[in-house]
Amino acid sequence: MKYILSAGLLASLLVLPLGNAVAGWQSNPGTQCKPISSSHSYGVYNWSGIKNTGSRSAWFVCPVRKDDQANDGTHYIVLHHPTSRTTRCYYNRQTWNSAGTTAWRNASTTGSGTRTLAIPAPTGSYGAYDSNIALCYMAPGTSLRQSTWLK
Amino acid sequence: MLRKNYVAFVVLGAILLNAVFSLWLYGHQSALIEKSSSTAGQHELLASMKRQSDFIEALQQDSAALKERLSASLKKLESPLTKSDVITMLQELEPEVGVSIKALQAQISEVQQQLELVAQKATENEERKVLMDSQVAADTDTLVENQQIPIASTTIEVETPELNPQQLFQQFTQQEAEQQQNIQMHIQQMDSHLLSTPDYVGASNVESAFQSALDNKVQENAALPVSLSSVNCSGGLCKVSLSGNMDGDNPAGPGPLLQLLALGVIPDNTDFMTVPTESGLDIYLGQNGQALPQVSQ
Repeated sequence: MKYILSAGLLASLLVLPLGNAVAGWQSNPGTQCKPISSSHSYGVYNWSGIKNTGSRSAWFVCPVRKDDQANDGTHYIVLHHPTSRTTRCYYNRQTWNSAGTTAWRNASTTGSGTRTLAIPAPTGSYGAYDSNIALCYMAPGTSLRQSTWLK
Repeated sequence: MLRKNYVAFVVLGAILLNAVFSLWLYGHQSALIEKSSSTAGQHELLASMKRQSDFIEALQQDSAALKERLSASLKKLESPLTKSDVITMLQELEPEVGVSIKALQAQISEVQQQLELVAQKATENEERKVLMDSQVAADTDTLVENQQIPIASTTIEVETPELNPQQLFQQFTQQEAEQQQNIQMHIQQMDSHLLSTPDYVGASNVESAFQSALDNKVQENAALPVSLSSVNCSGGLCKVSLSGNMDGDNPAGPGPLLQLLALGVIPDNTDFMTVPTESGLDIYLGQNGQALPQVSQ
């Protein structure tokens, strides 16, 4: 009986962090991102990513959850370039009722294939009501597959 | 209740004693008659019978009086007690009560002595605590002076009481005011930082980058409704002032700021802040990947 209990405890200890990791990874798929311009065309890539299917470059915005901000402050964005091109992303933090004052930090990547952008959180933070978003300016054909604090 | 039982018990006991004595007397009288027939004279017998008869009569009278008192007492007990009844009862009880009061007074004085002892101990402990605190403070000051040891601030976790909606609103308003104050303080700090030692070369480079981006946008036939007003740099911090309509012509599309950012006018990994102004927008940015000055509260 005690072996069964020990095995159950061990299994739960192993499963808990794994479950959290999966939940964190799956909680911010690229499908949560949307183009800023509602008229811009986009498509879903492989059920979890979002792809710029328009003829021009466009801004895409992704929400950043509150518990994502509790990490070390670095936000990761996984992109895919079908051919060599540049994608520039920004991490934006806005304080509630701050009359439009916002804090930013940016990063960009150039090349082809799957690429991960690491953006440190901006230093400006004024309280518990800060809201965070990630913004990416994507060329046609570029897909955004994940927006997460996990590497 | 106890008092009522006590009176009834006494009266019943008297009646019982009366009955027992009557029986004994009857028995004794019979013995005397038997004796007189054999030994004593008739006169003596008659005189004795007369005395006994008087005694019996007196006993019967006492018994009747006792019955009356009993019935009166019972009636008194059945009816509500008057103030005088209570006083009488208390007077009767006074000796017993006096003993109880004396015992209580003794207990109270004992408790008072114990309390005085506890208070004395508490005072001694408080004095000892004050002395120890002053010693610890003095020792800490000495340590900090001699070894420059940083003092860690300790916080005590206090259970926050539940707030009603009005208190929550007040708390929210207070937090909002504090946030606004922090933002204003941060902006003032950055402005005063820019006044310290002007970096003309840095300002020129940033100005060129922004002007070039604006010019490129014009070449793309997508003129931005903004213009560059001024650029100031100092100690790794720059401030770019843009004037114009920052909302843009198309509310659904990206505004002029995002259009500028899309051009990569700001280098990668730059920490920057945008502050709307009456004439347009101020952008505070750290040069060469530097973070913005932190707000000190």
